[in-house]
Amino acid sequence: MIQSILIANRGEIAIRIAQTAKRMGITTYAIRTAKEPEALYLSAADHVINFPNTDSTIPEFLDIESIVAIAKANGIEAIHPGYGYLSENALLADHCQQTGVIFIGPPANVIRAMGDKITAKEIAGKAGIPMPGGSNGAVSNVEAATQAAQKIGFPVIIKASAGGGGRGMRIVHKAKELPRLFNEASSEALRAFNDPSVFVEKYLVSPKHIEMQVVADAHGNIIHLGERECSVQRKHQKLIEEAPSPALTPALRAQMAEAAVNLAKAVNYQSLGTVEFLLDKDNKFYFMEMNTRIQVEHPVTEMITGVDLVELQIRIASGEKLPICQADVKQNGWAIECRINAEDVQSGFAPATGTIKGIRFPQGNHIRFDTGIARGSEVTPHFDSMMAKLIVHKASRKDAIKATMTALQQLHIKGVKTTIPFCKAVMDNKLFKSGNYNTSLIEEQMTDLVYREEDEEILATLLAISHYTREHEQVSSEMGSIDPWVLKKRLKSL
Amino acid sequence: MNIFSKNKDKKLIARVKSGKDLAFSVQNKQEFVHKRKTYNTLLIEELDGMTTLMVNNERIPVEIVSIKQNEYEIMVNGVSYFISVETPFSYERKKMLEKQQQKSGKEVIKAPIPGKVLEVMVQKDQAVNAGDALLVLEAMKMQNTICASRAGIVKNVTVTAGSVVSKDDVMVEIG
Repeated sequence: MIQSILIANRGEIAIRIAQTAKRMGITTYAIRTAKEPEALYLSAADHVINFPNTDSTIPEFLDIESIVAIAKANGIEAIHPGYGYLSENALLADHCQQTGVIFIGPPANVIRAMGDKITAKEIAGKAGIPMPGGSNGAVSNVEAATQAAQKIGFPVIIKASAGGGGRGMRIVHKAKELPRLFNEASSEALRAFNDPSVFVEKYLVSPKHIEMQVVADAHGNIIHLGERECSVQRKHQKLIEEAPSPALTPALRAQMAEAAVNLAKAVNYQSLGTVEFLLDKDNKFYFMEMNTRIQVEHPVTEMITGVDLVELQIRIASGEKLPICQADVKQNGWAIECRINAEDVQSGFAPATGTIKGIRFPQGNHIRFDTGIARGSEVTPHFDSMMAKLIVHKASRKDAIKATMTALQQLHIKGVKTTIPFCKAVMDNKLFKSGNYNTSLIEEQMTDLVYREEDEEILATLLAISHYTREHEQVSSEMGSIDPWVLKKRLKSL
Repeated sequence: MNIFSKNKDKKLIARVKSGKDLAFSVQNKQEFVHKRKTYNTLLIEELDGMTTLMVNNERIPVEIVSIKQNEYEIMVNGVSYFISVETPFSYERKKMLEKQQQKSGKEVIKAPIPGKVLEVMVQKDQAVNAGDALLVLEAMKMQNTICASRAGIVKNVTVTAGSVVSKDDVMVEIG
């Protein structure tokens, strides 16, 4: 078993990893950066190592050389990359292998194969997993793209082969838009990923986004831990997730799970991974991509299966056999996760910054709150806006939605604007409650993205009025002294 | 709304941006009446850093995000409310000005009363939104923030901090 772990990440996921590692008796090391030298995650680790001063302009948690050097210099056995940053970077896995550090994740060749979308599609296609129609492989010019698009019919989506995070991606509704959008996608891909290759795929209008959690050890054991429903998205960013998915029947779940496991087998997968699917309105599912890391939304799976996914990652990286088999995995009840982001929902989800002046957490045995912030934390523009995750687990979906709403009402953060009122609006939304929603929920179906509690407006005005009255004592003594009749006259003469 | 009630109560009107205008009569520094309901308020800074507004013994976590003169941004349950607190006089004046501005396509900000400009917040060619503060005018011993009632581009600023203006002097033009 691994004895020490360097956590090459920050925020709530660094704390999350440290918690499991500590429970397993593993020594944890966190990395302190000059951008947030007093961040909360540093208090979760046994040791804190200052990131060395370098002339490099690479962000700290993307600096492969420095991170591996820290592990070597401190005799740390393994590196956990968390999500984002280097978690799907095959070069880190390579570098670890070359220097004798354990990378907690899949082998470099698996990361590479799944990271390149064209290769991933090829492997998935050979494994018999349903694919949306499209160009087989990259299209090198507008003519080839047009040909592929006409074969499958519009709308189509142009995607960067090396893509991720919505970059290098364009939806094309009409043939005449294609040349312009093709060039845009290709040049964006070149800038973002240093690789201009793009491919064309059938674009599904308003699908559901459902993903399957798989886990595989180095001894050929591969199981799945069921699905997560991630259709509450804004601009391809997930905001709320749930498990199980209200869209799946046991038969469909079994089919999708089988497809995910088959893909994992086809690439000789090892470690924790997620196969993302799109589900269309006819309940047909299509392979989208595979993520070779722990996901932000992993807690909903943990809540309903009772399995600690970080523990599995560490055990597999240590060379152990999976401690559970498929028959041990049961989905119990319903879990919902709300991402608490520092964003101003009323201003189009603009990133918000500030100092956390106070925070009140919801209470309950069914509540899990994974936070990267505490009172006094700075929310800066250096990092992404996700501050914390609220996860609620109940026996049924209906109860879970109700309990999530109550928990959101108990959660108060002072000092920075958050997505709490938005999450409440989703919990209150009819379509979400019905379970029959898809990725168009936020951008097309929801009329009000902010939930207002009863009497909120009068409470806000009372605060303004009482503050004003105290600050303007002198003025307030004059307020009633003008005769209304005189006042009207004075106004008219202005 | 009848803001000129017969009794001699002090009045304040809270104007909520894209919301309602709510009139309160001020009983004392803590007690306000709105639509015959009395609200007893107390603002508490808590030990855990939170701010609580007690209203008739109910505790509500709140936050004053910003205060500019009589303009407040207030958060209740994470929802922002932009509120300007007006006296009956400033309320009527704003209403009247808004009516005038709606008639013409371009907004000319004139001095509503003789006074002295304390601060100018905008400059020529700057884009402004409705409700943005343009300048602070001291008149009748009160500081008034003059706001844009419509979105547009600042075409001209004819005053600077310290300028003394007469009634109807043009201060800012928005096109």
